[in-house]
Amino acid sequence: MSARLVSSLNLRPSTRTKLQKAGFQTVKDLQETTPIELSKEIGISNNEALNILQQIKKNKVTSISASEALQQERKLCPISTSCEAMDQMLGGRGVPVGKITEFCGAPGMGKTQLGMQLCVNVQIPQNLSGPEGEAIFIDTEGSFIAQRAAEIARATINKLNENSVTECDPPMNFDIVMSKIYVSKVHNCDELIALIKVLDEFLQEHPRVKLLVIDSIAFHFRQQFDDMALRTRLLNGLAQDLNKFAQSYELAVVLFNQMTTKFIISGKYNLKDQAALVPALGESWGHQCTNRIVLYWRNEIRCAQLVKSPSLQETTVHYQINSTGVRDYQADSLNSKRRWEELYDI
Amino acid sequence: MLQTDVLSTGCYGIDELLQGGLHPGEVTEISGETATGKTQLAFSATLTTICANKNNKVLFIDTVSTFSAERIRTLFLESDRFDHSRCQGMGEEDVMNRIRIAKCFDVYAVMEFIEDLRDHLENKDKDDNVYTNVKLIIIDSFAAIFSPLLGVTQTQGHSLMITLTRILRNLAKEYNIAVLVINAAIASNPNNPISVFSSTKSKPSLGMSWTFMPDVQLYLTHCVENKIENEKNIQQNYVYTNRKEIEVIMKPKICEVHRSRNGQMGKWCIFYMGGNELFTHDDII
Repeated sequence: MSARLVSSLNLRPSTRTKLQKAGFQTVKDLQETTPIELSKEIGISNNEALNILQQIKKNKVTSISASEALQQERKLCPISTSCEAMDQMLGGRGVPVGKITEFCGAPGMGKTQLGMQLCVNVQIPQNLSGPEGEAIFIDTEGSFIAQRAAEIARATINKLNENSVTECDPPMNFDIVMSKIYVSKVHNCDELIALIKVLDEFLQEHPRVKLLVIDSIAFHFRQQFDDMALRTRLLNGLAQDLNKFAQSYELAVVLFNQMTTKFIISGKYNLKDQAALVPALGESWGHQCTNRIVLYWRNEIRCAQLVKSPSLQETTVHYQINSTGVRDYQADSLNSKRRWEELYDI
Repeated sequence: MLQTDVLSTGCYGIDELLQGGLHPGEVTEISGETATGKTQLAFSATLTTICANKNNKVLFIDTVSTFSAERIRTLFLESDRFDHSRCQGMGEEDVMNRIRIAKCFDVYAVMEFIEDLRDHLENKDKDDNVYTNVKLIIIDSFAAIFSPLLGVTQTQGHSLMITLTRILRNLAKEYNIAVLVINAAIASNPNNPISVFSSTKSKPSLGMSWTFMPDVQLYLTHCVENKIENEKNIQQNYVYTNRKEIEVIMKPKICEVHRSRNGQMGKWCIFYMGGNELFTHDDII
């Protein structure tokens, strides 16, 4: 620990220079000093000096063995999507906790619906093998409609009641369910970044939060950015924070992403130039989430394809969205796709 | 150096590109597009190293929560590749106990952890030293911890990247450890000049200064149709039947050597990935 270079600490460049000029090379040189001494010696405020010393003294990062990791993983309760096929695809029981899961899809695929469904399902009590948690819904597109969330919540509660054995004791209460979805609307990407930065505090106050939904991550980042390198940096920083939350508070982070058209110019005489629908935010963003699912239409059926996962097989499943929320695909519900086609004149 | 010190990645074709596998004392980089098998290759190398010797340990530094203990367990118990080790009496518990995982979500945490690791390795006589006999250190992924810090006008990120790599290299040399670094990919227009294939539209991330750091750089891409001209042997969806008679669909991916200090550059191979398996064409036929 002691041989660590001062330059590798998380400090402002000016502070780092001051430390190095005063002859502090490694962390060992700093260990004996007090904040007041340090602030006098290199000419920084007491608070800054305290900040430096706290960084050195904070808890060590330790490693665990894979068997301990296995036990920890098994303790985490995934969040069901209410669509059994999709749950199976995601590893058996739903959206994994402690990881970032991204759903990408064109408009009308039901991304927001899925988000609201998850916000309700995260509250399924433990005796019904749910996570019994709370949810945060960060709404960037203005798409969170409380009325619709209420519909989904009622339908889900009814479904649970049907299955529950003890009728006198309803497993979930509608008002409580609605009160445990914390909705935050953000209007630009500055607000989004600021919100993520202060979320740490909120999560500490609300330890039961097990789900964080951002609908959608792409919206604010797809406009008003001239400097694409800056955008990549901001997005990656955001992903780092989200990863940290997912691990340290054991919550499932669910991001929704839009799709964009990518032109593939083949440059060869025998191949045509093509256009493909790909998830927005570029190649580098694709690395940030742990699991990625693409939602699309195929033969008038909604499909969800798992395209990226460190632990699961690439698969495609069918699902449907109806008045009660996200459900397993049933062959007789074809009309929604037709309506969609008429609307967009495809 | 003894040939036995070289650690296999578990995939014959890729070992061939690496002159036998991951060399102790060297920093090997695997970068590639999303879902091309970077993490799978890391898992495969982890288990192959663990199974090669009953004392070997592997340290996995996870920066994007990709590590899945359940997955490692399944691979060990179900993949045909580890039949031999299982037969020799290596138990699940023992294998899992020899893999160490450190979750670090920013570069400062990684730095702190690496320094702590160095302390442990220096004081070998300490009781219950969990890091003795660590043969392989994997960082998955490097890009995630550095990309928020790297920019044209920001020097701090670059300096940290070089410092960390230097520390890793020192550790690797001193304690005979192989270091495997996973990196991401970014778009490269109109194409990637280093790639053998003119249709490759991406390149490793982390910029120019990083390209000097690793000893070997492997690059993984999807093997889409028409990617390779005059190559007839590629099967888009190869169906593999494993020993339990379960059919798995394997997808072809390409692994090429972008740069190498001791091997030949520009070599490449096609490997198939799916289910619990990972192998090259030669292994099938």
